[in-house]
Amino acid sequence: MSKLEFREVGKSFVSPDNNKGTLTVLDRLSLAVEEHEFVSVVGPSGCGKTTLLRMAAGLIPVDVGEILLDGVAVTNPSPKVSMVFQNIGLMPWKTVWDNVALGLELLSHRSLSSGEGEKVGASIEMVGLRGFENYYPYQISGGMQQRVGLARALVRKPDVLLMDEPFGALDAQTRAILQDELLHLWRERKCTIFFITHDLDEAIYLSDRVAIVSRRPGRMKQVLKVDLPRPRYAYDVRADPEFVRLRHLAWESIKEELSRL
Amino acid sequence: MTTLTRHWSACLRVLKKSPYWAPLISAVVLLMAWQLVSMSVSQVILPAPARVATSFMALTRSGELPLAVLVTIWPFLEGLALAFVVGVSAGLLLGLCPTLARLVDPYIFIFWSTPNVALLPLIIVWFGIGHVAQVVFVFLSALFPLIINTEAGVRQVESSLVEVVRSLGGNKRETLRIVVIPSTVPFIFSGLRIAIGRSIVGIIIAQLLIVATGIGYMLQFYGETLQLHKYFAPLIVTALLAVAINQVVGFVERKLVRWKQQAFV
Repeated sequence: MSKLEFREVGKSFVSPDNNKGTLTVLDRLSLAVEEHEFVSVVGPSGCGKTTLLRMAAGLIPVDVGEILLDGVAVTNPSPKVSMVFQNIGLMPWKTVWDNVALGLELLSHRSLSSGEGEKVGASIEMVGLRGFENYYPYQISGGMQQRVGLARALVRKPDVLLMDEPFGALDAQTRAILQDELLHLWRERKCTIFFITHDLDEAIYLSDRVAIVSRRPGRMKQVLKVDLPRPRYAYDVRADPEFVRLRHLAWESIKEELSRL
Repeated sequence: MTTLTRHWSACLRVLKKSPYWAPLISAVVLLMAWQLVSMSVSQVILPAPARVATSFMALTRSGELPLAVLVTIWPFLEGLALAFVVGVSAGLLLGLCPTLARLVDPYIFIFWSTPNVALLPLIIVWFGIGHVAQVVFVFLSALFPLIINTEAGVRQVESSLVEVVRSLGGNKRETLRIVVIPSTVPFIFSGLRIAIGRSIVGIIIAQLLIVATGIGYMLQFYGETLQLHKYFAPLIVTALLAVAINQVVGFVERKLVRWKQQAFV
């Protein structure tokens, strides 16, 4: 049984101009993510990547088909799943510590025990933010804010981590550092990661498999297996002939979608 | 010429460095101007500052002024507190239920646009000319800015933050506590500031036109009997009370909204 499975998933939205009917965003998309696997989804802008993730998180319902988590259909947000958002979504009125604590507070629906307090501290330490516990989000950089977002997700010890272009808004250096740290945390925590990005290099560098979605309505176009040895190191991997070959393949595939206008 | 400019810029430097000098200097200048003007007109038109100060002390010692403050502050605080509880709750409710808001909003807008004073006869008929009528009038003066601002605050809640709480397993109550209320707090405070301003006007008007008591009545009596040296006492107290209340609210607001980055400091 796969950890997270998309079975012929379809989704439409009512288009803003009422008479025009509906806009089909995803069309019978299937994909299975195995336990402890790192799978990325890439595709042209507007192909429904984020919609796919929001459905997997139980935030919006599936129209057609189903999404299974450990073999059970997803209908609501699950305690086994944590999500990391592109716009991070920290509460501006909560300090770093309180924002991370929120991850546990909403799991148990009561104020934290001292043991849980220790977990919060450990999570903050793990993402390298010790000493910043009492800072408000506006007082720290974008990269640090996303570390808080990651800590808030990881403090819940999730089986599955859903990540929606988490590093998309960060500068190149910060992004490279956070990518490495994410791989490190993934190896330590042994969770399953489902990662949305528009950055092919990032997808190949991080993932076991890269799923390419067609342009809208999104269908599964191709799944590339990334056979690069781990642990990977950012700049070495990018020079590896296999990396270059995969990037070429992925780019050709996406280019084909983009030209299909 | 150059020494003059040098002295001038030295003065400016002192003013910038210590924030206490500037208001002190302007107060002295103002008092001097008052004194000069009062010397050139009749004491009935404008009494001298010293005369006003003497009357102030006399009215305080006789207990007339403190009593007036008490019977003014009390219905003021009652009406404002009631309006705060009702206004914020109603604002939250209307912000969270757009359907209800569509039903109720037009009436709120009508009430908000109608001058409160026009309601005075109705209030007198319904609530008499006692304490309750004053409280009701203050309540009506303060209520609508609180409702409208709270409602607007709820409307601008970041939907992505609501989604974060939901993705972490939060229910409706937790969403309200963790996202909606904290992000509405700055709006509630700006509503409260408007409400306070209108309540002060409200309580004075109520005491002028409904009940004939407290500071409102003092203002009216000493004004109409041309005893301006006594009239200034309740006027100054009103101004000082208004400033004090706004200072307290500002202090609480700064404590609660520490998390907001200030664009201009």
